Amino acid sequence: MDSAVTTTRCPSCGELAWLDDVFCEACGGRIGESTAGAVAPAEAPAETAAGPSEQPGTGPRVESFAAEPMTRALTQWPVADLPTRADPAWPIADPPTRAIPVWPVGESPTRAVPGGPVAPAAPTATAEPAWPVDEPAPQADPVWPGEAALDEAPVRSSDARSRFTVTPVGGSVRDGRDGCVHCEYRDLDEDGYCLRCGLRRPTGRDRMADDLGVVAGVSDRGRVRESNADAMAFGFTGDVAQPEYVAAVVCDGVGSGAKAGQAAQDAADAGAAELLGCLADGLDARKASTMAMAAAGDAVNALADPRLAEEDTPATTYVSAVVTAAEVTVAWLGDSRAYWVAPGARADAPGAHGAPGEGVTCLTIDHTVRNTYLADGMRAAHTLTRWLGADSDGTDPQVSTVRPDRAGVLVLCTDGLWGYLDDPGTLAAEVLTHASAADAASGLVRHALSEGGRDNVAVIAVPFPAGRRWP
Amino acid sequence: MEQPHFDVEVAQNRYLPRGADTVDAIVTVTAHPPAQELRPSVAVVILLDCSASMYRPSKLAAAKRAAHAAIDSLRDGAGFAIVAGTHEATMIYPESSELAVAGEATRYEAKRAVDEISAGGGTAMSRWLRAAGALFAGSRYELRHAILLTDGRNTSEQPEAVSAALTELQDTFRCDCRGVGTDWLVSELRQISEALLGTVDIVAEPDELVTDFAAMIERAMRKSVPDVTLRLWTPKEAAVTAVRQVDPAVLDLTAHQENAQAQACDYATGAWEFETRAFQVRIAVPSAGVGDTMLACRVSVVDAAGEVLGRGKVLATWTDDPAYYGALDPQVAHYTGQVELATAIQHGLDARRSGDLDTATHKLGRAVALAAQSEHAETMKLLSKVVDVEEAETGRVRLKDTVDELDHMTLDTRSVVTTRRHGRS
Repeated sequence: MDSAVTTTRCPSCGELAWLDDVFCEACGGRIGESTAGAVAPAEAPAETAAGPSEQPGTGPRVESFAAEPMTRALTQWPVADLPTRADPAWPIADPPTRAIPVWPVGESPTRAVPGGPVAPAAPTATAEPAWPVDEPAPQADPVWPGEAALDEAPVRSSDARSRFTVTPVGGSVRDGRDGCVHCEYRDLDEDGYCLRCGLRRPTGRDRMADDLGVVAGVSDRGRVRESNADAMAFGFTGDVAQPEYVAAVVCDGVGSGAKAGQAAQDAADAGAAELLGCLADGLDARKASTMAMAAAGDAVNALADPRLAEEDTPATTYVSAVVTAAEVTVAWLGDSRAYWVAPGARADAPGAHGAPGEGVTCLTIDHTVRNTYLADGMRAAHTLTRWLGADSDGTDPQVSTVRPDRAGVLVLCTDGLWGYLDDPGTLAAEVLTHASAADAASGLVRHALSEGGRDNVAVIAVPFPAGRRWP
Repeated sequence: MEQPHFDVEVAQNRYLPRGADTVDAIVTVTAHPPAQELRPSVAVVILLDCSASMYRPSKLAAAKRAAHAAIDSLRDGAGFAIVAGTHEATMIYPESSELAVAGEATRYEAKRAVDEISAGGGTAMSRWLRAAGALFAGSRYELRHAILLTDGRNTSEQPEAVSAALTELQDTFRCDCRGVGTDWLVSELRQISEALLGTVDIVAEPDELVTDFAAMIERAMRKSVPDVTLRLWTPKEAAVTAVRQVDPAVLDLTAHQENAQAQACDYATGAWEFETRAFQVRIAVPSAGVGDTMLACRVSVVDAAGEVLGRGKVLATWTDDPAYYGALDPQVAHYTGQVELATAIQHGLDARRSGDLDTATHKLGRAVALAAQSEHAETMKLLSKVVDVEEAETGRVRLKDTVDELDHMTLDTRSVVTTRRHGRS
């Protein structure tokens, strides 16, 4: 960080902050002079009874944020310093567009140093809007998560598990598809080597896939990382022909190695099971999402080992989706994303827009330092500001519910995919040209691999409305 | 019925750094031939240099005795013929241009015919080779083996004539070449033996020919699996860039490719007895992702009928871990060194011959270091007749002021003979 940047302290909580910050990163309180239209940071934890926040300033913050129109605020969310083709640090051939922030997938996301100086995410008066004000920002959070609070611990029926179907714990470590996952040639030899391209069928977590018809997902180690620290789990309640809820979780383990993969898989498994259990018990999707996130957090924390070095402590990102006949509810921590994809569609949520005519809407906002700092035109590493697991600031997710006005597909993915979605049209084209959820998911994974596969990738596709097979 | 089978062992540097696109492997093949009674039919043609230079009585007499020993070593039923080579090729036995069948009577007649040989005329080896090719072509013998004996250079024709004949005859029969004395050219006989998958050696004293010929024939009689090919399958975007035999001697097979298909090609290795040979295979592959494992090459040993007699796999795994990709496979390193040793000797001797003494000292010094490192005692002994070794490990040598021509040619001829890796890990 530039040493010329000076710091100050938040008047409310005393947290270190940058001099030109408007809001405190820690408590959300106002630091300096507000400017017209400047508003909330992207993130704010849900207020839940189950997990009351110990951070100071939680109460007033929610009110002050609610007073501002989110859409207006987010149109000024600049994405000014995205690398361009001329930037030598940029490892991907094509520069990203402004529509969706893209970071170099070669970098591993890291966690912000706890207690370190983290700037709040507010635009400043001097910051030049990155795009015309009348063009909607790609990321918007239409529903504030405060109402997702749970009043009391829910009573879970004992047979809940028998009323839903979910992918196996540990992930589906074998891709059930025949043939080569690399070049799609049909014939493999007795040891799993492709008779055309010679590459071996991936083993273990290197390639995971499952297809439940109403939801399908694929995860791949990629072409650079030595192991797969992405994970996924998904399922549905009721009968597969007419499921009431379809639920899915994607996680991206922080760091590399077996521990990161374990954290991600345990979080995904625990989250999906809790999510489906709560839904089967009749909880609404938003409450279930928050409950599931807490269960996932417990699963990750169970892996913690005080003997481990700090960078080896387990942590993961988390994004979940609940799809019904009428609604899509997403909940997340970190930078794994949910996209709504439909031909020319727009969901009815305020501020949720795709690039015109392309029908792609990102329903989540990354919890990253980059998103935070972009407002100041500063460059920032792709550093997570929120996550599940060690040193996290809690498991309260950001939750968003939309009611799409037409049939479409919800896509959950890790940065291993969205880092290669420099054009939202790519996502629409990949999803809408395939004939099933499974084909769409593997098509998107193939896109990421063919673009370089610099990171692990996990993709889940859920057709909407729930139970719809495909157009 | 007992089938021959071949053990195929692959030693390789399996781990490659990110972006690497070359895979090296040593494929060691051991043949397990079938029982005696199933052995294939064999035919031998002896090409005796009868040019004027052989006139010196000791040479011609020794050649005749060697031919006698060869004829006596033929087993009953084997096809055979004796051809006199000058500026043309003349049938000695049988008189007609076809192979005789070995038996008591034919052996006797053949030896009588050999005794009648007289020397005179030039040397045109391409005609000798074509004569052998014609004799084999008109026969149904499975194993076809020629022995070429000469004492001089191929002076009666242009070198292109031999090259053209070899291109035509390649892989149709095996030919072992023997040079008597020091008036012949190692490069000429090496060209023939490499094209026809045989050996070349120097016979210092004419009298040594007798045991050498008998041994060659006995060896030919032991060959029991004819026309074995190494079939190398590669992925679609990959290609075999080099194949050479490295044990028992260095022999480049890259030019012996045949039957090429989209993803596979065959390399002829000739006939096998119960023996072990090693091959160095180099494959250019498209670099894959870190963590990916590729079947870079599937090695099959295939007989003339296309039956697969043994298999092995060459793999490639890309990694960022230097502990993996930095480790040299000892077998690969050993034979890479043996190939370099042969090349260093040949280049060093060429330089010495042409008066470039600095290069000669450098190359032969390198050869001494490599021979010491691989404990190649035979080659070290031959090298020490050409250079004075001051420090073997570092290759510090001085060229000898005078070197016996025989020692120079012996070192050259046997430079390709490799040693196996000694028990060090």
